Amino acid sequence: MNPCFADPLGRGVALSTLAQVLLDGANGVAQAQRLCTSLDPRLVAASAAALVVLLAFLVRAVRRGSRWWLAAIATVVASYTPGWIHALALRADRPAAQAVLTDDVAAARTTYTNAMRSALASTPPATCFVPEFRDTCVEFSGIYLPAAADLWPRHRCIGGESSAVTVAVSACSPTRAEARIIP
Amino acid sequence: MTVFSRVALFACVAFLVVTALTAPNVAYEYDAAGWWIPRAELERAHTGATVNLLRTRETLPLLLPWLGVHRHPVAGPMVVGWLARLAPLTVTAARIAALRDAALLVLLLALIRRRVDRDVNRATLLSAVVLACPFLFVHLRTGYIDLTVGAAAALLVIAMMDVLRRPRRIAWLAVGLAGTFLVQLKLEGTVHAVVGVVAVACCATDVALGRRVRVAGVTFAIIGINLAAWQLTLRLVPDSPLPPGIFYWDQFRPAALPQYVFHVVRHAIDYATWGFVWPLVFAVAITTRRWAALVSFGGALTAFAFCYAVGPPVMIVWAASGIQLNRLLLEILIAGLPLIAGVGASSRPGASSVA
Repeated sequence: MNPCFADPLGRGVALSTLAQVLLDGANGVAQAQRLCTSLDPRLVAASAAALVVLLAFLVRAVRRGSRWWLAAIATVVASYTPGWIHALALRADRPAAQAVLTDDVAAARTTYTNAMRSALASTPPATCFVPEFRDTCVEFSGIYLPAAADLWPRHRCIGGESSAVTVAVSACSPTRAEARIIP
Repeated sequence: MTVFSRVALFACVAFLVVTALTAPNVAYEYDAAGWWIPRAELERAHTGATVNLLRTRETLPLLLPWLGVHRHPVAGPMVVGWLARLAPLTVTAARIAALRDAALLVLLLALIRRRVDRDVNRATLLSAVVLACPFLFVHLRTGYIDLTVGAAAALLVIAMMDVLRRPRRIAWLAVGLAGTFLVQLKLEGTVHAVVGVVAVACCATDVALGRRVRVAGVTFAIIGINLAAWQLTLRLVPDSPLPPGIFYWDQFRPAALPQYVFHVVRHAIDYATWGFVWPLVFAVAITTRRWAALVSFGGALTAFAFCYAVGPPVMIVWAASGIQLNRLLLEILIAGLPLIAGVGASSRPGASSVA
């Protein structure tokens, strides 16, 4: 497994690619501190390549007497290399993995929604419900809200609405979710 | 130089458009996927559905950035839903949102080129380099609204500069629209608006003081009216189940400040996220005397430091784990881009004063 994705939260839990995306979204992005608990050799190689490009630009700029700002911009562009490699090739939601990931997320959402819909089947259409997570892995709680949106016109309660139905949700796997109404 | 500039401009526009067109349909967690993208899809399928949600009392509290529940106002999903209706069904609302952000950034780039007071080629190159940073690529594809907030803040700065130079009616209208859009967009939009006004008013020293004060006053009034509108909305809703705010003004925690500074520095030098873009913009700002840009960056970082000190302790945890702070840094970077590129507030020594 890519060491960047092994234990991002330092809790001794190895997250799947899907869980990484659900948990991270756009937030973690390319942060080595967060996603890498050990030094990834690919990032080291990318950094070395960036350094070579940087030196080449600098030498050329000095020899040709070019403006220093051009060298500075070249430095910055070269410094982007590790980040671009990470975004394009290493990240869990890199473009090449996007199609599979889209299917996985859609399947997880469907699993969640079906469980919620099944639990709410006997309630009136405009039921207001309150989710209550039980035995829930934290990385999958984020997918609850999209599932709730799919249940419209049933809707999530905010605050203390009077006709609330409490639904206990349990999901520690993207392929399995359970929901039941708490009397 | 001109060739470099044109190539950079073309590459930058192509990059933004292609990135937006290939944005994924993956439902990211929480903000984007959990709230506004589903509502945009709902609006696409059922005209008026988003407005109807207002009547449920479920949505309204989520629309109140004023209280710190920074969901997007209802206009966002509605507009994106309408736009998505024009597109084929395979084009998701998330992708429409990416196209919206890309369009805003291209507009920003065009406005910067038309308004820089000195070297247009250098401004174009610099803007292209900033917009090509890896974090922007990833962020543009996610459906989050931080890029929109940053671009709106930058547009407000440009509109204020236009009013300072030529106070025409259309320039004032642009200030009103950009200010309203920015404040209504998200909680931190107000911070960016205030910081932008201060930066422009303090640093455009080649414009007469009286005119700067008048423009700043009117812009502050626009910001205030928009904030008051939220308060008025609160008062008009009977028995609204309001959530608590996320700021605790009576619990100022100075201990959060050094942690905040540490995390800002740690994020800004993370070259795997930003490359060297932050050292570059600070170097450019100092060497070219873009004091307005420095005021913009410094003011926003200071304001957010205060927010962290009065916010719940978990905000520092979010900052540490990258959930929140690097998105704020992205907003700050884009908001200050016109000033870095040289739009308006150049405070050149010896520049003639505009009466």
